Amino acid sequence: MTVSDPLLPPAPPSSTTDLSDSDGTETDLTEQLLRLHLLPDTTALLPVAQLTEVLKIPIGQITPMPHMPDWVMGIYNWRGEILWMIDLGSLAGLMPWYRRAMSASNYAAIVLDTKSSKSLSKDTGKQTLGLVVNRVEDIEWCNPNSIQSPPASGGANGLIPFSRGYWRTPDGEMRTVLDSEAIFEAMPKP
Amino acid sequence: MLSFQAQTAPKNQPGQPQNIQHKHLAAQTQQSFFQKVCALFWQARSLRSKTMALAIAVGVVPVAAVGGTSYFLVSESMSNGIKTEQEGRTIELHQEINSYLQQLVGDVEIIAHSPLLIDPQLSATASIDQKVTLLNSIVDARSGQYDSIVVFNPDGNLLFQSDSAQPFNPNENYSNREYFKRAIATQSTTVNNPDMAESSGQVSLEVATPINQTGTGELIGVARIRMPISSFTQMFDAIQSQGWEYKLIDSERTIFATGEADMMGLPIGSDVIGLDQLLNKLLAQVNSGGNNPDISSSQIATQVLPDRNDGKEFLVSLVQIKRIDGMLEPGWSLAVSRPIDQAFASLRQLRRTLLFGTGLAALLVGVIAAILAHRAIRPILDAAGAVGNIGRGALSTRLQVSGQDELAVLAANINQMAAQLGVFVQQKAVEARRSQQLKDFTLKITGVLDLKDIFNIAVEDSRQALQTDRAIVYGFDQNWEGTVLAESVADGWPKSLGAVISDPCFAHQYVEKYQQGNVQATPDVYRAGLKDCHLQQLEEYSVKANLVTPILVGGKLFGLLIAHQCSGPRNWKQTEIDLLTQLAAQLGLALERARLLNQEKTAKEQLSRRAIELLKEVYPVSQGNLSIRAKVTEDEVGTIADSFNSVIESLQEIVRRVQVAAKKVAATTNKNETFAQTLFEGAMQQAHEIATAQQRIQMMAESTQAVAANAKHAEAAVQKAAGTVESGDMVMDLTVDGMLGIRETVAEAAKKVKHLGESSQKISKVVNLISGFADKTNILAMNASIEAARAGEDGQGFGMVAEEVRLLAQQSAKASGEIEKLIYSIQRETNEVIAAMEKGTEQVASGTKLVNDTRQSLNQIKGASADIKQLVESIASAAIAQSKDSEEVSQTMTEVASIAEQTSISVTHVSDSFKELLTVAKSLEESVDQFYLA
Repeated sequence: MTVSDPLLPPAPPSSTTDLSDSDGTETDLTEQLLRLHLLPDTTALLPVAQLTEVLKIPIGQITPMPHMPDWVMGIYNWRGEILWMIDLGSLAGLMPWYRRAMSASNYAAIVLDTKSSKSLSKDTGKQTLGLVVNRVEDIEWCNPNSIQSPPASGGANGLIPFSRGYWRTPDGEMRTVLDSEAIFEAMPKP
Repeated sequence: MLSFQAQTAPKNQPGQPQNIQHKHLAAQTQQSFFQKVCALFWQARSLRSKTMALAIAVGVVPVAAVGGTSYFLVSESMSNGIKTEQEGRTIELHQEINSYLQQLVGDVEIIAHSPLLIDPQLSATASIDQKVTLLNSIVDARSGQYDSIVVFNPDGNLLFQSDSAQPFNPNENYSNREYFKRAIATQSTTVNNPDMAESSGQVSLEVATPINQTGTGELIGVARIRMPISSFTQMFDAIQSQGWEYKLIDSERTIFATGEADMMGLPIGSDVIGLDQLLNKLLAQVNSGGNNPDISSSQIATQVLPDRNDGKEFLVSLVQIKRIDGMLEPGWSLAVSRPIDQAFASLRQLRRTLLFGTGLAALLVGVIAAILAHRAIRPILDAAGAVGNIGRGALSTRLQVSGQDELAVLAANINQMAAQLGVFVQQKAVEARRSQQLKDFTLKITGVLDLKDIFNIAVEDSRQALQTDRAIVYGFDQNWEGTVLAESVADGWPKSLGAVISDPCFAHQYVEKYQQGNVQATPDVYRAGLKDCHLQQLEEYSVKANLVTPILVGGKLFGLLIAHQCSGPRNWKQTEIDLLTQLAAQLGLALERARLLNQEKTAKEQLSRRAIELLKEVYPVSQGNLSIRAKVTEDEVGTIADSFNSVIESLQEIVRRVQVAAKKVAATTNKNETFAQTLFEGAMQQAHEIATAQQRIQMMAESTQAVAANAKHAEAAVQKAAGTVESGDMVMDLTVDGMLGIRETVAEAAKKVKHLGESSQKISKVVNLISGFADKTNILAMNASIEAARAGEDGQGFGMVAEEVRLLAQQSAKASGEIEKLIYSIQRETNEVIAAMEKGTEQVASGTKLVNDTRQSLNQIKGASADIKQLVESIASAAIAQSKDSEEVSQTMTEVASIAEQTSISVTHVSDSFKELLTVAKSLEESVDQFYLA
């Protein structure tokens, strides 16, 4: 893929693993992040490498399960597999789904799996998990080196336990970069 | 004559009655004028010339027609035969020339294809002598027709030639010769236009052909034969010896061979005029006729053309020589001609014979017809001459009658008619003489009053008229005893004048008969059975025959007019008896007139004497003496005197009364004069006052007229107002219509806007769908990106495509969002429009209602103005009527005024009259006092 097709957007530059360049220049964009909204005004990013699929699920197709925490919304028949669906906002201590005013007929959901997470694949094999979010927005390119570690003083932000760090957008906005491993770890182990 | 005119008339106007009915009016008058002229001309000719002309015409015209027609037909066929013969000869010659040329071309081609020349090996081995021998053999074979045969190399240099009287110069180059150039150029045989050779002065025909080597086809030379034209023209000797001429014409229209040496080399038109045009015609014929190999009529032309020099005419046949290969276009032509007098000699002889024969036949027929016609009409001409003579008075003219035909009957009738006419003329002459005598007698005795004279004239005239010996007037007295009152007697016979003849038997025997006008004619007194006494009386005067007519005066027998014949007995003719009777009657009338005139004269004298007496008696009356009376006698004047007397008496009475009356009038007049004065003054005053009243009435009439005029104006104004209201009404109608239109349009628009709303909702649905698609696409794209990312390095390209798709999906989503917004705003605006339209519709409805209200008000106004108009009209009519009335009153007043004036004038007159009357009365009194009233 050295030849760049003019029709395509500029290819991500070949990975110059120059870790010293801690500033993370804008040109060194190598990682794809999915931008999503947990709440209409809460934006988060999730590395695409950790994702399996983005879904739209009609509301009635998620079967609620009894005796589960608030943030577990139920199970969903995902191509014949049972997929546990959790409300990430509720998990992060934000406003849970059931307390929000519902206007849409679909849920936006993201499927995570552990296969993409190298560390877990050895221990537990493949695991999948569905995240229900407010809205899936877009995919962004970013320089993984420019992702800053989360501040030690997490404060009230409940997302910190699940985040890899922060990434500053070119227009100066700070966005949380989530980490699927952290989310998987938060799940109750069988 | 009449019957002949009737017979001949139809001949000069054949079919005229039927024609006239069908002709147009103008044409008819024209035709009739022409026919009139013809008829006049025809009628002016004598019968003999007409008959002869017709007979000759009937005889000669058919002969001439038959002769002319046969001449025309025979000459046509003969000239065709002559033409055909000449054409045949021409074609024969033409074919001969053709074969000649073919032979020539064949010979040159034999040379060109001779193996000796074209076979390279043979040609190389053969010597020049052998080749010359070949050429010579051909020259010999044609027995000297050819002048020379030459072979050139392709550069035009002479290779070898046959033995010839005029050999070619072997060192000259001949490549510039025309036949050579053409043979090289066309690569085929060429036949040149014959030309006069400069060297020999001989016209020769040159034929050249290229020689090609066998196998290679390379051009190795040109063979050429020259033939003097003289050997060619021998074939024409035969026709030339018959006086015919020939001309051979080349493709440039130049004569190259002819019997006339001076025509050689000249253009074709220089001998015979029009040959050029004939050739053009022939070429056109040949071209249109195609390439028919046979010589048909289309390839030969024959025409009579004049010679250019002496104008002598020739019958010329022109034929185009069949095209030989290599001949210059358009080929040669052959013209054969012979003088026309030679060609058509037989035709001319035929014409002479026919003309002579026809003329002789026509002459014979004409002479016979003329003789027959002359013989037929001679009796008619004789009859016409005789009738003419009779008409001129020669009544003794007689015609010879011979035969039994109609002409003989006519002659007999004419003779009879002439005899009859003679008798009539004699009788008429006698009668005329008699009436002349009677008239003379009447005239003579008219002016004579003396009875004796009358009697003398009567007897003299009677004797002369009747040619008798004696004529007497015998008058009766009261006892019917008669006296001879007048006598005229021829010399030698006894006179009887004054003799008293008393015939005792007359009174009772004859008076009655004579009184009734009877006439006694006695041819012979001795055989009339008269009494002796009577006879004795007659014998005394030697009377042998007598004629006695009565003279009646006022219906009474006055006497007798008697004619005596003393010389012997005489048979009295009726005409003589009539004449004497008429003379006696005239005599009676003359006597009566004379008696009446005498009586009148005496009466007149008596009357005038008495009148003078009367005048003398009454003279004093004129002096005012009314006491005089006239003497009354028994005659007419006495009656006058009596009435005069009574008049005088009446006058006396009247004068007396007048005197009394005049006195009374004078007194009364005096008294009445004052009354008249008073009346006069009153009349004057009346007239004055009436004039004043008239003035007032005039003023009143004027004001009434003004009222009428104002009313008229008002009426017009009201009418105008009504018109305005009506037009307003119309405008209202239009407005209502317009508003209804608006309402409909608005409703239509609302419907459409609703449709628009529905459509935009549909669009909105579709946009929602699209937006869903975009959403799904977005998700799919994201998933693709994810998959690509998971695929690591390999999925990078795919990831990029996915990203592109994603961007596209996002743009779609954005676009559909915008569309949705737009549609929302459209829907909102649509709704607003619908609301506005509904409001508009309501406003239109209320506007319509308002207009209707207004219209009703206008209609009310209209009604009111109609009422007003009616009122104003009635006012106007009333005013007009009043004005008319017041005019009448004014007129009446004027009349009254004039009457008053007249009255006043009359009164003045009356007053004047009274004064006059007074004076008259006074003068009357004085006048009346003059009369003396005993």
